[in-house]
Amino acid sequence: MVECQIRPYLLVVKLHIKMENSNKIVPPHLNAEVYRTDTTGTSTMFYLDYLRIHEDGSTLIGCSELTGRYWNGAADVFKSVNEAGQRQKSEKRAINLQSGTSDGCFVNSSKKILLCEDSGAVSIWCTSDEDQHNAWHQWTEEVSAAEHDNAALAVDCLSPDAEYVTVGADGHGKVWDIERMICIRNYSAAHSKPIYGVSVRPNSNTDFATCSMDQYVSLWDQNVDKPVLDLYQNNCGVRCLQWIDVNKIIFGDEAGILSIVDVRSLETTLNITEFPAAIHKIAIHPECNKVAVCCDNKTVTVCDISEDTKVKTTYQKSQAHNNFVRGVAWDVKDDKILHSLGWDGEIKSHTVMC
Amino acid sequence: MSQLDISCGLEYITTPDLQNCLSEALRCNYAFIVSPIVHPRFRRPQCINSRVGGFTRSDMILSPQDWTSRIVAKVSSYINVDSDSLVVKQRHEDCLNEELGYCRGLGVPAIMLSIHGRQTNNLARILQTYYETSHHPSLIWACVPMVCNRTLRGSNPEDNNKNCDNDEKAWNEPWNWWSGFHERLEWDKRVGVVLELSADLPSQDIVKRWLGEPVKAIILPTSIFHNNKKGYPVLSRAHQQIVVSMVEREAQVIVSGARRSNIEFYLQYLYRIWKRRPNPADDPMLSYARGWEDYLQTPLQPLADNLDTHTYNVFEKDPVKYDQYQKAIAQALINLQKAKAIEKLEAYNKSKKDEAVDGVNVSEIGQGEGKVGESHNDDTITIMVLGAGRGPLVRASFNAADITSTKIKVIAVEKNPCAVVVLAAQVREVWRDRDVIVIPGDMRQLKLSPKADIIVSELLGSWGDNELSPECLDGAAGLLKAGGISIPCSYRSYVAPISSPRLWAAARAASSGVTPQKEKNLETLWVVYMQNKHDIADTKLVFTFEHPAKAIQDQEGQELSDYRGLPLTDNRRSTSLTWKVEQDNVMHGFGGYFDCSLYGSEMISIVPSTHSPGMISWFPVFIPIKTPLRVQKGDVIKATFWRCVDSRRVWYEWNAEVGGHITALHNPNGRSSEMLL
Repeated sequence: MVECQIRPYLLVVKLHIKMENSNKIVPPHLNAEVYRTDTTGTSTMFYLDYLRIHEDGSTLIGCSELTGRYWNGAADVFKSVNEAGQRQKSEKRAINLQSGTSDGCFVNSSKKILLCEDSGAVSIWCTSDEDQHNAWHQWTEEVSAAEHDNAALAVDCLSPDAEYVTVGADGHGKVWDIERMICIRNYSAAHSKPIYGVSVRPNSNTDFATCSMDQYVSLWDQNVDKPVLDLYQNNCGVRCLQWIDVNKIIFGDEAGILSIVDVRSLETTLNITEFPAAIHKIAIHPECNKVAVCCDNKTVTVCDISEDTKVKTTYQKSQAHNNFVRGVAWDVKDDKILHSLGWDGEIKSHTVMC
Repeated sequence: MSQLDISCGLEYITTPDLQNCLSEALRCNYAFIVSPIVHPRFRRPQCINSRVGGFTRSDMILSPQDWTSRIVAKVSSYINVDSDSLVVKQRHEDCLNEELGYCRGLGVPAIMLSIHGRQTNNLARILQTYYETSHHPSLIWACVPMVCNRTLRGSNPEDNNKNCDNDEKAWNEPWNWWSGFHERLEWDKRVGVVLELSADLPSQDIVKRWLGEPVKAIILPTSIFHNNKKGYPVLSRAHQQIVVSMVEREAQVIVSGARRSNIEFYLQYLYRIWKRRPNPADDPMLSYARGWEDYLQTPLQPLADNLDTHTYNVFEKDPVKYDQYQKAIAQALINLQKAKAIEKLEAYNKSKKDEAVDGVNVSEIGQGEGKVGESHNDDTITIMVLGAGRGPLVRASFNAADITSTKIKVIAVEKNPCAVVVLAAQVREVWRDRDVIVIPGDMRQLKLSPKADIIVSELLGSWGDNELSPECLDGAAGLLKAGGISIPCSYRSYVAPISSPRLWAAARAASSGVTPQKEKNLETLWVVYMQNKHDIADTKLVFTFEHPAKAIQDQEGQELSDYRGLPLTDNRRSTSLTWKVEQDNVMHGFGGYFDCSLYGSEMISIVPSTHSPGMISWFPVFIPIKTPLRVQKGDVIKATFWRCVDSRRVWYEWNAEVGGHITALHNPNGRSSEMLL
């Protein structure tokens, strides 16, 4: 069917383009047909979606095109956040993806990364300095598994270089043996709606928590095929979560409420503070009790959570970006520095006093 | 109307290059694709004015024809306009409206959204607003899973009883979501359900209930296929069966999920199972009814209106009905002959006795011979065909006479002048050596002599007496000899409570949209080949009629007769019926059927359990109720039907009652539908 529906247009348009291209005159009545075939102005804007910083300072940036003609994605690895911040928007990306990407992580070394793709694929990419043929530090796809039935939305590490857990918009959670790229545990329908976040429990390589649009926060043990526990049922979808310590999880939801649940006493879940927009991502400071928060707005916020009940906003920058802030990450060397990126294509650094 | 072929679509997880995705799907012979219209991860500010740039890609990348026939638009799955959180509800409502507005601009054939939970009040409200403000009627496809995993998981492994309960609940739950949502939209026919099949399947009862819903499409996740020995994706037998039954009820099929195999293979496989299904041509009813599934027709009124020749032509094509009539007539002829023979024998014996007493000598036996000669005349059996139409029953009578070697005289009575022309022509041309006459006129007003030994009629409607057979035959009682035979000798109407949003919505919307008409439509019987429906309970007997009918008696026990001396009959009826509900459901009305004893053991029936194989003359009736009733397992449905008669018309009234709810009385005084005498 497509042959007879689209081809005639192509034919007509090509003819015209051939004739008219020289003087750029397009017959106005062919405006739509020309748009359909003229793809020269497409690879313009990418929305930055996440950043991950390796111990050695290397920075992984993931981005997607969400409103353009092609909804594809890309990822880049830089030596440092600074280098990442300095790169030109128009620069070529190290890794180009068929579809967008909403999360990714380093796989132990800074030469190897795992990417979650909107197509449902989970792929491992690597580069090598030793390889002499790779003078340009090109990244190559080592292996990819397209087993999620909808977009793969988040990843976390169970045991470095070996086991990773991904969650997806299909409601599935999958534990991967990335050595063989085999899904060793599939939690089919772990949630009934898209799972937006996953976080592995500190000091554990089996336990992890997930949060979903089905309003649940659930705890899983990869040795058990059912959820260990539903930690909390919220009154709206839960967007992101992270363990504060081995017992406490902090999570943010669609309503913009940040809450803490303690797995030892589930009744005492606390709504600790409220933001004016849905909470998109959070980043716990590894040392001091601080959490960086970005929402569906342009603001970057840091809260002090040393006392559960009294939350202090220690830093807030309201026009940090020109579009939604999508990712926040603490610097690995200077614990006062917070990095953020957003759909404006910028990476910004913030100094947050303890 | 049911499709002859299976129509398959391909759901894309994401459409990075929409042109390419569509081309790929069409190249693989898929008919359409399901695609998000806004990137599901693209969150946007609520205040639309403050925004720069578009919230999705330009629609100009596809031709308008592609948008209007090839794309099912999927609403972003995070949207939950019935969230308990008021801010979320409001924000998501804005997003949903934005996406719906965009779909309206594109003119997509269908918009798919998912329902997960019983809270759909706000969603239903928004969709109603959408329909009020849209000129292009996109269908709404509400997607539900077949099973609620969370309910399933809620089962406690130690408690087996509770497990079973939970199991059932888990399969019931999504149906409740859908049914509640559809109810809020007043069973709008533009809103259908898309059922995502699960790897495990529920009991037949649950599947059957889904078959009664307007399932627009079924989603086959690639994960429920398994690979056969050659490595091709295939489905279990049970899944195949569901696919075929659903497609027979006009559902389309959507392949969805990760590409576990070449996407062409899925489509090829689906084509194969559709081709391999039991051949509908094997069942004459199925092939005859093709194209008429769930299509509502107003019942005929052959008494008030004259049928046209095409209608006669259709009815005469029934391969079974006239055969049954022929057998019944033959049986009646044989029995009449036997009776006459016995009578003669008795008469002969009696006369012999008389002779012996009188001492008449043997030579006078000639007189006896004379009597035989006289009784030879008596051997002719008179058959009256009342409502002969274009003559199929006249023909059946001749056949029956030939088969049983009986001498018959046929009197064909017909009130339709056009049909009389046809009958007269046949008498003149093909039945010239037969003893047959045609009498034009209404059987209720004729006085004929000699009277008939047998009257044969076919005056039944889809609900038995609804074409006024009782009134006609009672009016013609004077044409039958005392002790004569009526074929048919009795008939009965039946009903079963059914669930069918599709039939109900179609009945409501039939003909113009003015409100009083809508009310009338739901107080009327509809003739329809029902396919997209589910029986909530068994079929039960409603009214019985027998012929020749007995007269009513007065308070002294005396049988009454009318001014012509005919038995005065009473064809008013009323019956109350009860059913126990075995499964949660929604009752939209009743399926109505009849069966009929022609003579002896010869029957015709359209009651599902006893349906005469291959008989195509009657589709059942759908008897709607104005407000569908939600019924719970264990409830008792009580329904009452009245057949009312006055001097010039006949009509039905009915109501139904479940738990504390009772419907209004339908069709009081025949205000919406009646049959004219």
